[in-house]
Formats: sequence, C-alpha cells, structure tokens
Amino acid sequence: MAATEDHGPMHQFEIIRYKDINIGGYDISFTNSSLMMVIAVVAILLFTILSMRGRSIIPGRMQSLAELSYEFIAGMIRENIGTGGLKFFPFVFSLFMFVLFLNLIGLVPYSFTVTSHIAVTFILAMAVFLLVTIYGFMKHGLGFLKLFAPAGLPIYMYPIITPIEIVSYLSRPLSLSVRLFANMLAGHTMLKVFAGFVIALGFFGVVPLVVIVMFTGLELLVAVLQAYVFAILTCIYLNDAVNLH
Amino acid sequence: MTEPKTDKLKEFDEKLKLAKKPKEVKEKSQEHKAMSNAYGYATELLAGFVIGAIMGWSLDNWLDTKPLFMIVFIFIGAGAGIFNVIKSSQRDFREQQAAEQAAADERKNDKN
Repeated sequence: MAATEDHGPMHQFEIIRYKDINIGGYDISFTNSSLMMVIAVVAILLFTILSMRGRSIIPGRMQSLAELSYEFIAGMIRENIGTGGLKFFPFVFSLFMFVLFLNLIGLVPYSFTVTSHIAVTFILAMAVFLLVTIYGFMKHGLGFLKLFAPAGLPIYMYPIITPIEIVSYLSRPLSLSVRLFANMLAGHTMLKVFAGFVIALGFFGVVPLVVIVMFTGLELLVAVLQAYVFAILTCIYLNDAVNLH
Repeated sequence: MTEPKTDKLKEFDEKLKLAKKPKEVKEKSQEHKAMSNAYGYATELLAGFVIGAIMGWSLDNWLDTKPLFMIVFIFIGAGAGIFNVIKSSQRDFREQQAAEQAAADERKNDKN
C-alpha cells in the first residue's frame, strides 16, 4: 500500500522543504510552495514589464494583454467602488494577478498549487479584511460602525440585526478564503482521482482519459473564474469602507 | 436584402458567423459562473455558522458561561450565513440581469 499512498490523489498537496530556515523560532523554510510563489511573482513582473517595454500607441499582442488586464481591474473597481476606489488599484491588481498566476501555474503537471492551501488563501483574505477594517475606521472614524446598524429599520430590529451584521462581517475572510481553497483543492483532487482510473481500467482507461482532458479545460476556467471572484469580492468589501451607506 | 448574394457577400456572411461564435463560449462560461456562485453560497452559509460558533465558544471560555453564548451565537451565525447568501444572491442576480440586458442590446444592434 505504501506505493499507492505515495501517489494518492492528495500527494500533490504535500509541502516539500527545499531549505530549512529558522529565524527567531519561526519556521520560514523555503518549500515548493515558496518556490511556486517566487515563480509566479517573477512571471507577473516579466509579463507586465516586458510587455509594456514597447509602449507603442498601437499595442502588440503582449502589450494588449497587459492593457487588457489593467483595463479589466480598473473597470471592475470603477463599477463596484467608483472612481474614489482607484487608489486601491495597485492592491486589487496585485492580488488578482497573484491568485490568477498561482492558479494557472498550478495546472502545469508536476507543479504545485499554492492556492490549494488554506494557510495561503486565508492570509490573503485576512489582508483584504484588515485593509477594509483599518481603512474604514481611518476614513469614517467610529462612524464606520454604522455599517452594522443599517438605517431605516424599526427600532426593535436593531438588537437582532446588529449581531447578525457583525458575524456576517467577521465571516468574510473565512468565506473568501474557503471559496478559493475549496475550488482549487476539489478540482485538482478530482483530476488525480480520474487519472488513477486510467491505469486501473486498462484499455477502458481511454474513457477517464477523455474526461480528464475535458476537466482540465474546466479547471482552466475555474482558475480564472476564482481569481476574478476573489478580486470582485475584494472590490465589494472595499466598497463598504470607501462609500459607507 | 434584395440584391442577389454575390461571392463577396457570402464571404462576409462566413466572417460574420465566425465573429459571432465567441458568444456561445460566453454563454457557457455564464452557466459555469452560476454553478460557482452556488458553491459560493454554500461556503458563505457555512462560514456564518463557523464564525458564530467560534465567537460563542470564545465568549464562553472568557466569561465562564458554558454553553450559553455558544448556543446563542450559533443561531446568530446561522442568521448571518442566510443573510450573506441573500445579499450575494441578490448581487449575482442583478449582475446576471445586467449581462443578459447587455447581450440582448448587442443582439438588437446586430439586427439593425
């Protein structure tokens, strides 16, 4: 059984340490997860810097890709927050590109999907949550607490609505991170389970093989869609902090 | 369209058909988006419960009132989860309607 355990569907999510680093009691070893993050960051930097190097008025293929991603996020922010939210463009753009590249690189065989670990997605979601909370209090002071008591309700509803609004607000980082993590984990596990069927079924393994090809296409869609969902939810949460209603 | 279809027109027709093709892909991805939204609702519902339970449990630990706050907060968490689902489903519904409206407008423009 040891051999099958080593190559089970969950084997792909294992963290492998490349170099042990220990600073002040904290384990910050360089792992395959860190390596993938470095690759993603380098790929994003190369993509944005190299494609914009030409700076031509009529963009080439790569330049229009970079411009497209810029316009996409800028449009998303304008639509959901308004032009006042454009100061968050660098944050939302980096977040979107980071998640998108991690998701896409994770689809390459033998690579590692960083976003399939809740530790990573939860920290990303926590960054969004803290930014929204801190900016909200900075901009509106204690008036930000009005978010938990929507105007125009009969007075006896407030004792019920306020705790519900608070719990709903606090549950955001959890739902944001679980959504991305669960989608990536489930998709990749399913791919590997079907890959196991290919060998187990012998000649009839052609059937799951075709299914895998189709699922890989679907996974590509999920990878892009989840990065989009992460970015748009960030915009929606930021909207609460920028335009308090 | 009274003039006979010349070769040029036919060629144009084929090009038009090719140009129209990506819309089908768009509709498919819209379909998939609905599925992903549904998974999102499940996550939100669960997140409300979990956060409510954690909050209640830690309040109990702090004030030594086991299990009063946990029971209360699980109900509040359930409310928050349902509230979250209502809010985001309304948002997704509006978004979908806007997308459908845009698609309908585009179709109208194509006919003209």
